[in-house]
Amino acid sequence: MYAALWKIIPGPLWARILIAVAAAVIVVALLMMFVFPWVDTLVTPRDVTVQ
Amino acid sequence: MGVLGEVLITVGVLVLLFLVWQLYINNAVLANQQSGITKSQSQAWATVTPTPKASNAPEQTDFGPPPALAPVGAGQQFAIIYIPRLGQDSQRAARNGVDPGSVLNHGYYGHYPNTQWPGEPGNFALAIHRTGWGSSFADVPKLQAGDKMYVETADGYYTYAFRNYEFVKPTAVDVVAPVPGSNAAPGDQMLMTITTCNPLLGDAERMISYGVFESWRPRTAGPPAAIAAIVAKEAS
Repeated sequence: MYAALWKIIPGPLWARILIAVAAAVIVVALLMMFVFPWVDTLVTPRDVTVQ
Repeated sequence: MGVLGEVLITVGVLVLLFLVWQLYINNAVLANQQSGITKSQSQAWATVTPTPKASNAPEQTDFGPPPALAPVGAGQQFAIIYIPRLGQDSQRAARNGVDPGSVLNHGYYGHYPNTQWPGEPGNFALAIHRTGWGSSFADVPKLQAGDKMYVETADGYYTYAFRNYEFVKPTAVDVVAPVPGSNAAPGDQMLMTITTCNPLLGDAERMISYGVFESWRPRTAGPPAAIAAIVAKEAS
């Protein structure tokens, strides 16, 4: 999977590393800004009340 | 097989990333939001200038019996709670209700709707997250008997003194009774009870912190000396 992705990235080695790192940063940022806040509403929080 | 292994590793990394987000990043973001919320609340309440006392007058400490806080609707914000032992930036706003989605998961103290209010005989019961969600309550085991807990409302400041902890099962609803653990009538006793989860990062039990009402200061008398610097900074 990752080997196939690596082959898709064009350019010389340094450019491919740069693009791969940039893509990873964008994916992590999207996860933290949009995906994780949504997941947090689905998972049960640690309960702090007595009931 | 190679692809399956990569997918499994990716899922593992995603779960770890989610935990980092939940425990650190989201926590820091919500704590920062709370500090904005308490600051704007302080500024909104800072319309009353404390009456300056005569320079040679003794410091007045007894302002009589506290007024009962008028109950607010579900989800309404009604107080800022300061516990200096938990840190100089540990104040959090309090809202009425213990709904996780709208109150607790934003770092607020949540008031158990069927319990009493500050200044009312009985038990002013709150819940807050121990860790994560912007909570400042991880250090709660550092509280020592007599540590002050201040409840600032539109009217003034209610001071409670920390009394003791109790560790109970999540079903122990009697900890928020007017007299915890009892069916007795409260008389004129005023308690404050804060429930949070125990152990740290788990919720198998509840850690209960009790405080006893000590004194009351109207807003015209200014904040109690111990939090005067924090309040002044917040309201500026």
